[in-house]
Amino acid sequence: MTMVDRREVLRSIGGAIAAAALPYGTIVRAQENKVTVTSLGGRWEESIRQDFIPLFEKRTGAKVEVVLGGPSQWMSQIESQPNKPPISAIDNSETLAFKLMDRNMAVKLTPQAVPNLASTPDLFHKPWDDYAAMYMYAGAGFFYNKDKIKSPPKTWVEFFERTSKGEFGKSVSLPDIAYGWTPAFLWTFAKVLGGGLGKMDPAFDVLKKIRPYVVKFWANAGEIERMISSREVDIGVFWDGRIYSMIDAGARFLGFQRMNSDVLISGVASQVVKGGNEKLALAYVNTLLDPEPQLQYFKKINYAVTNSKVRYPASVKDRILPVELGLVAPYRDLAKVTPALLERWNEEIRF
Amino acid sequence: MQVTKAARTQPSGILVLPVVLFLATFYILPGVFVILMSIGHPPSFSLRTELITAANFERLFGSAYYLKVLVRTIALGFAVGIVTAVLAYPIAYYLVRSSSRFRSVMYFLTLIPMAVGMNMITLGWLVVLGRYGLINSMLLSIGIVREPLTMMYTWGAMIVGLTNVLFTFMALPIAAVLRTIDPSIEQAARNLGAGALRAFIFVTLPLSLEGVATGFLAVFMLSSGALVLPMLLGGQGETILPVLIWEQYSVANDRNFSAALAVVLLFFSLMVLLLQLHMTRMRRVLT
Repeated sequence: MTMVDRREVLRSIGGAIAAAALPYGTIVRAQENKVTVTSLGGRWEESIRQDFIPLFEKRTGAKVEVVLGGPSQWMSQIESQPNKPPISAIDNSETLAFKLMDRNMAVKLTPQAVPNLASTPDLFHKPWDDYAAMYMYAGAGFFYNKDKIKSPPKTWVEFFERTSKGEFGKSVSLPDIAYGWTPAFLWTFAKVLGGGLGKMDPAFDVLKKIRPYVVKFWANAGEIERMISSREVDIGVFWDGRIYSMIDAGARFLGFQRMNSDVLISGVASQVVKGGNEKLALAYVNTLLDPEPQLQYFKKINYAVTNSKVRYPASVKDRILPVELGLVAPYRDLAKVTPALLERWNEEIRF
Repeated sequence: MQVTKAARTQPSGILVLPVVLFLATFYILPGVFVILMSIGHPPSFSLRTELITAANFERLFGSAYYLKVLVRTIALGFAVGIVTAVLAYPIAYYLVRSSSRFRSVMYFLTLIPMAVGMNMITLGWLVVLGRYGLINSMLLSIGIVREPLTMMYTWGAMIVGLTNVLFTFMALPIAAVLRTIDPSIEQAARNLGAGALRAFIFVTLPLSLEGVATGFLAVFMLSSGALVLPMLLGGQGETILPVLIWEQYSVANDRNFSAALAVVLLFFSLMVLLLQLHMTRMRRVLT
């Protein structure tokens, strides 16, 4: 039997370290022509890789590395290495985008560095002082089971009134506080019921009133889609693009009713991270705002896109929420009160 | 007989060094950082005592809601442990003592939950227990019920799902200990006049408790730390600690409080471990 002695082990370890150090110069040079970006999973990733990245690579000659996950995870990665962030361009949440700005780790997007900003309406980048820009947006509305509900509500107030009277039975679903956009929904509920950011009582009061008719408050998009598909729920609120995707995939029982007013908008706030490969990241964000790949993204995901030069097919124009009807929540101020909202949800809705 | 030098030589500690380094880097160090975060300190190597605070634990133990969730989490662990033990023991006994040709099939079925994984099993139970799922569809079609029964988003759904997922973690340790029990001991009890049930209760069961305790510990830790299944099968009133940990981290962005919740969960898991070790040690002393 061959015995391995200590000297041989140390020799091989030393050799491995030396071998690893050798191409270091090559690795550094290669990284200058590579940018690390983020993407959500599933069809989102598919669109990023098939619609945006090829155009970016063609224009810049650079390579893209995609980190899958979610904003919280990406922010943790960035904050753990602030001097040399592992991510150069992040698809952030509206709230965490402010956090990156407040940490002085976001690069301002200028029309010179991001030319497509000029054809992106102010609504999609001014809330962040141009430190972030949305390339897509979703509008909230009511999904409903057309077999059971013939006349869906058209406003939040109507929805709450009819639900609390038991008209829909115990078949309603709304987002849980675990869902990232629920604080924005709570703000919307409060706003339409006479309250606001500093007065959220109306939102919690109405939720307590309709709670007996709620099957479950859903915690993520996959959960509510499953609940809708399996007819666990007959009515609730969700994003237009997701519902339209389900309808196009064959859910003929499903309907979507756009609200007449106070349509909450959500989207991805793309940012360039300071200290990363800023030049390439700015070019990448510019590609995200480009009308050509944005149209392809819309065809895959069914979410509206932000570049005003995008020409939607005539057959789906009715699905696009007019920008002027959209309502953007005050995410920066909302972030400050979210911990308190979470506590209140636990005490009053869950307890 | 002479003992050779090779036989007297103890294995070098260098053999376990890779595992120790791995555990230290990816298990112990992150755990230390989580504890630091729970007392208000950022995860860094330089200690700043002015940042240390008990505020997160004061908030946790000062809230009736969080205490309720904590009790519910521990109760869930115990409930799943007990139910799993009751269901797994007969299966484990069959696997060890039976000479039936179906034993290998039963072995395979026992291992399936571990092979399939928690997520797939959860999705399966969503289909079975759903409003128009397998059970309700059968009951409605037969006419036993007029409206679908509410089985989903309940305490029962969580226990059923977790029992299914963690069944293997209970069955295998019990089977392993049963295998060490000499069948002739049980036969001796029978020869001395004990019936089958009496022999089991007074001979086999006490000797196999170590396996039950080991399985219970694993099931308790895994069920009280489960996230996906309780989130999908549980309802508003069934929230457990791992869900709150995730929410505090991802929604409220309060990593320090999230760490405090995690430390408390870890503490109770360690308490159950110590209890199990104590019981095992006591049993060995007594026998």
